[in-house]
Amino acid sequence: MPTDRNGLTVLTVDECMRLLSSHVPRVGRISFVSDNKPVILPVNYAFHEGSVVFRTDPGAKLSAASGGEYVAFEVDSIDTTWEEGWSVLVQGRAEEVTDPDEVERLENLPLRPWGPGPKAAYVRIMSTDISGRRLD
Amino acid sequence: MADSEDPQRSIARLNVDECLALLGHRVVGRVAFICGDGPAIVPVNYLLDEGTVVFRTTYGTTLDTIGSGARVAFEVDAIDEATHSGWSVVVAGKAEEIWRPEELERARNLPLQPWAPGDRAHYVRILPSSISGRRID
Repeated sequence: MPTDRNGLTVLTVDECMRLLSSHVPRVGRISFVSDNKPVILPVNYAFHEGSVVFRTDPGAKLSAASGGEYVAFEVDSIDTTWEEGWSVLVQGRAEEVTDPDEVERLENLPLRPWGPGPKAAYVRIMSTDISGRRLD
Repeated sequence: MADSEDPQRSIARLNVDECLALLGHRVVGRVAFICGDGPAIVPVNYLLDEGTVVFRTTYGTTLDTIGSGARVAFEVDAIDEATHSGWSVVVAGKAEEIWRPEELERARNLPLQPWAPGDRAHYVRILPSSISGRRID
C-alpha cells in the first residue's frame, strides 16, 4: 500500500467509498465557502448510489451552496488512545436533488437534517475527488 | 422520521464559555480552509492554549495554504447516532504558523500529540474571530 510523505497509508477510491457507506455514526462535516470564508458544520449523511447525500433547510447558508458551488465533505474515525484511524475527503459540487422520483427514493433513507425546518431539501455532492488516509 | 417533524427536538445555542469548555474536552477537530477551487477539510489533534486553537502539521499543502493568515473554520462535535443528540462547536478565524522562537518553545512544550506520523514540526494556531456552538437534545 502506498504511503504519503507523512507515513499515512493512501486509501484507494474503492476503500474510501466502502468507508463512506459503512461508517457509523453517519455524521460527517460539510464545508463550503460563504463571503469568501470557509464554513464547516456537521451533517447527517447517506451514501446513495455512489454519492454523498444530506439534507439542508431552504434559507440556510448551506442551501445557497447547493446550487453548484464547490464543497468538501469529510468523515473520520480517529482513536487517539490507540493512535489509529482514518479519514476520507470528498470534494465536488453540491446540487439540490429536484427529480421527484429520486426525491422519493431518498425519502426512504435514514436522513435527518441537523437542524429545524419543515421542508429540508436533499443535496448531493457530485464528487470530482475522493481521497483518504489511514494510520495503521 | 425527520427531526423537523419531531416536536420534542430542541436546538440551543451555546455561549462562548460553554463552547470553550466543550473544546477543552476533545482532542480531535477538523480544519476547513479554502484551497484552489473550493474548501478542503483535514482532521487534526489540537489543544486550546490561551484562547487559541493550536495544532501541528507537516510542511506541505495545508501549511502552505493556511500558515500565513488564511481564514479557516475549525469544528469539533460529539453526536450520538442513536438519539441524534449532541453538540458542535465552530471556531472561525485566521490561522498562522507559530514561528517566533519563544512562542515556538512554548508550543513545543504543550502536551500535543499529532495523530498522524511524520515530522509534524510546524505549529499552527487559529486566532478566533468568532466561537459558536449549538446543542441538540
